[in-house]
Amino acid sequence: MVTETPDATPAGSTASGEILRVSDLTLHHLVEDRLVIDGAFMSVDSGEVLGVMGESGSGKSALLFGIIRLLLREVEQRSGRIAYRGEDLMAKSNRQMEQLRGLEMAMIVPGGKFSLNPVETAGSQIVDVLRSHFPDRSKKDLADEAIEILRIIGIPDPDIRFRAYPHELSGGMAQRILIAKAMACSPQLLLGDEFTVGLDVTIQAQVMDHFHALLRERNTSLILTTSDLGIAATYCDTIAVIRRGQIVEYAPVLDFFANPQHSYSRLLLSAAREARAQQKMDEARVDVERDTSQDRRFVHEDLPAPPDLYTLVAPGHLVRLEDE
Amino acid sequence: MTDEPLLQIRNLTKTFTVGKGQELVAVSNVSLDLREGETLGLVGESGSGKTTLGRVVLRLTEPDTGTVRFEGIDLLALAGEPMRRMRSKMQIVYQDPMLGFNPRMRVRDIISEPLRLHETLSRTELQKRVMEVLELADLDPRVLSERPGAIRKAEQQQVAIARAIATGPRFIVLDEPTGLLDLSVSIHIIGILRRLQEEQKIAYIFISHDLSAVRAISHRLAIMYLGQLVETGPIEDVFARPTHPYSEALLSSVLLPDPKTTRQRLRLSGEIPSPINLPPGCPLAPRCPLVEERCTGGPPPLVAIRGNGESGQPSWWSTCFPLSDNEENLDNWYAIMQEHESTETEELRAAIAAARTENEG
Repeated sequence: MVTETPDATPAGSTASGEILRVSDLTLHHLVEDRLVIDGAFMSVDSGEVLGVMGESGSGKSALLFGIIRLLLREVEQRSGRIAYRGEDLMAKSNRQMEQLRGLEMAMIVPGGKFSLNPVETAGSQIVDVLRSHFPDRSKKDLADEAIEILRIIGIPDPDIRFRAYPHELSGGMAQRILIAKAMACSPQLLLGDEFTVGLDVTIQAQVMDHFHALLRERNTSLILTTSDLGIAATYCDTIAVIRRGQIVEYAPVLDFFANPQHSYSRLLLSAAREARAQQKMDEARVDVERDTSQDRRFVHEDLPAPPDLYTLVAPGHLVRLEDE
Repeated sequence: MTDEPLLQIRNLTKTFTVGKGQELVAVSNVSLDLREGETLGLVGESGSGKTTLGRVVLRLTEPDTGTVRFEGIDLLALAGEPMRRMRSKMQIVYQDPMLGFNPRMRVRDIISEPLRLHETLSRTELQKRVMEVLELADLDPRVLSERPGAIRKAEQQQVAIARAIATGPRFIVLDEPTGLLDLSVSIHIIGILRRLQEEQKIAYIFISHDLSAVRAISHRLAIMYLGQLVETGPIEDVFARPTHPYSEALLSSVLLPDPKTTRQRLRLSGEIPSPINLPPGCPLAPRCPLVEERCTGGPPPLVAIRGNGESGQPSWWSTCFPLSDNEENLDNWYAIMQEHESTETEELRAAIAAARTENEG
């Protein structure tokens, strides 16, 4: 159920490079009778990685499901506009959304092998995704393409893995298959829901490094939910902090880590600072100043946030007013 | 022998038979000491044998060979009633406390159950003891009449801790106790565990993936890979200057919560191999960037990094062939490891670009 707001102009279609614009998204859980998302907003450019940070129950996963419009039956959308490349997603039929999902935007779920179909090979699950969007292409053609995707994702021996069942894969490998499924049709926008949780740190670094390089290479955007400050700092361009369904702070990553404003963000970062102080004593570590001058900066000057609730503290850096 | 450790583990091995004559060595020749009031952090990739080691030490799983001495008594020689009585002194807390609770019991009964099994207390004594452990675990008495499913995840874990300490154990295996919890809650649980240890002198084996949690609670660190201990030493020393290539790879993979800094990593190639029918030699050899021919020949030597402990074990040791050549000159060894480290994704980007052009060409 969608409440239409009167000025239904496709918001943000003029902003250069903007691929997704969400404003005033409110999701209501009918059974629990609470707002899981309360007035969320965001703007994502091509190639940008937006990190949505929050603890469990903060609504970060619900936000992703709201954007791709896959809501539980007991969750109703009270308000909100979602514009993908200037097109209003709320105006699309289920059929049209199905076409969009996979082809234009796709979700990477966590859970490794437990999120794959146990009785189908890894390869055929990727072929399934491809076939649903390209029904006319031959079986052989689709299989070749699936193997190629596995190779690009960084899976060794892709033709062997293609025939492997999920139980034959390690957790890291299964997670890469889930990434491959999402990237099969080269969507422009990926939604990643804490998908490296449960991977060991060495494997997480391997998977994320490769995935991140691939995103940059293809200029693909990613909205990533995480509660890991290391992931936020290392791979995200922009940070949105969410608490109890509300975005409390939204800022470019450098600005966020250097100058957090909201008390909740400061609390999150104080733990990080302690860990960092300890890490600096590790003599064997060689920490290198990162050359951030070459990074593409994503500074959103016109975030669709209600001005009575948010203060602009720096370009693209918004903080929600705190109730005393 | 006043200084005998609380727990002395020697050459412990546990092999599981899987399928037709295939052997999975989950714990391979592990030796460790644990002192009263000490925490040993146990880390390693999934499948490295951490949980099996914890279970074998408690005799929840029977080892094939090796010895476990607890308070000087050979645990593996005990049977029946003496072993059962011993169990009140050693406990375990799991990652998901709900798996160990009867969902239909109330918290009061969950906590008092071990007391009823191990001690004969009057009703008032029992009540008093339950209230004591409740306070030690920082729990509100209101949870007593709740069923475990009705309380928060963190409180469930506190109930599991309260139950574990009810019989006054000397030693607890904590198997990923913060694995399912948010950061702020996990800090709270670690605070409770630390305070308990200070007050009750309980020894912990703390098994975790979360290296910062391990660092916050442990006195010593043991790093496992494919069933073997590859390095053990004082926590701050191993974090600051690990000597085993696997330790370095693991510790340097931790992402920094700082967008302006990146870290040189020792990168392992590929993934943790199947632990079934492992070839002889160093278990890391197929992935190690510093691998040499001799690494695949036989078991790597034990290199003492720092002196001998009271019980004959060095306080800091590592098992690695190339390291053994540099035993006298560790700085040289650190320099060699650093030569194999790299920072960022430049090479990756190049590799991906190459793969694409090759594909298009």
